[in-house]
Amino acid sequence: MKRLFVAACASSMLVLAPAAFAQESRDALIRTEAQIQSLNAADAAASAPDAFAEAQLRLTEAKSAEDKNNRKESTWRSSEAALNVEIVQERIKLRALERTVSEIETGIATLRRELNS
Amino acid sequence: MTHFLKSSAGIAALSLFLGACASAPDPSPRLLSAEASLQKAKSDPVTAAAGRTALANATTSLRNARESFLDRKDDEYTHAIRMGEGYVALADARGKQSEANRRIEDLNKQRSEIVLAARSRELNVANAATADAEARATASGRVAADAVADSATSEAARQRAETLLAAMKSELADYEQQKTDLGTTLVLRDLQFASASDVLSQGAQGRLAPLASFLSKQPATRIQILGHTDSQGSETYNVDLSARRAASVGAYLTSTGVDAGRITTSGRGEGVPVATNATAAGRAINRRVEVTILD
Repeated sequence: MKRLFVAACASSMLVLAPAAFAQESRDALIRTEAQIQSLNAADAAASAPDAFAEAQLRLTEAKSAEDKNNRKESTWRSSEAALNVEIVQERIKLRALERTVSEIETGIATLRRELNS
Repeated sequence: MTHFLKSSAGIAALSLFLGACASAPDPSPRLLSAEASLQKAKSDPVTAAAGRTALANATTSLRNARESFLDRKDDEYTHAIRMGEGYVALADARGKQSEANRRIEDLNKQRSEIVLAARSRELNVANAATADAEARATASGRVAADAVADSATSEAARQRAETLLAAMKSELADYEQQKTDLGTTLVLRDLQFASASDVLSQGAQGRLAPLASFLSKQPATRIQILGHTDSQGSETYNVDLSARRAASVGAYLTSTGVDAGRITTSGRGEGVPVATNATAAGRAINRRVEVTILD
């Protein structure tokens, strides 16, 4: 009886494990695709064109791997795409900060001119 | 045989060397470049602090990449190197953000200082303008006060002059009066002196009494007394005589209480005739004493 139970458990794990892995890679793919879509394309293209293109390319590759049931490759490409999305987001923030620096510098220059006039 | 053995040994050694080379390949330029970038990022204090987690992930990924490369696991290597490069780029972006934030903080401080300086300058300008306006107002007030004082002085002078004129009209009506540049001149033609003398007769003193009375009532009034003669006698004598007679009139007035400091006397002799000296009537007109009540 005990042997029968252990055998049943082992069989269940063998059947369920690939299914869980498939679900995980699909979730990662969907999550990454949503992240890319949430980016402002104009900002992304202006702030980090390489990373943005890389993210889109890896997402395409992930989809292709997913279609071929290559879960491992799908997960890797999704994580690479997600990392590039994160880089794009940080560079968009950086660009905004750099613009702020520039605006303040211009403002200070104007103030100095007015003060010295 | 020996040659064969030597050749076999050489081939075996070469095979071993090539095998060793094949089992431990040099890391790819891409991996070396990624590792160099990681070291550079770690050595930058700002990037190291702002991108700590990303750098830790990059370190792990690049270690995996190196192992996969050495194990010739191409897929694993490709994934690991991409992740390693990505994490280094992420750390770099976060480091730059931190720098930009620090710069913004500095610039905001600078801007505040400049605005403060500008306000301080505006305040100084405003204070200077206020002080200037106050000074002008004070000066203006002083001018106004002076004007009021001048006006009061003028009014008082005008009133004094009117009083004096009224008094002259009423009290000195018996004298012949002429208006001159110096004031009002009383012409006394009928003053009697002893012949060739400066001594006033009793009648002459009576004739001067209204003038003495007037002067006692007008203590601020000053007079000038000029003596004149006709042309008889020498000129020097006449000048001296006229001067003495003017002085006699002054002395008389002083004796009635008029302050001597209010009186000046002088003799003109025959030098200023007002009628002909050819006739007795004319000479009588020329012999005179003129008392000018000075304005």
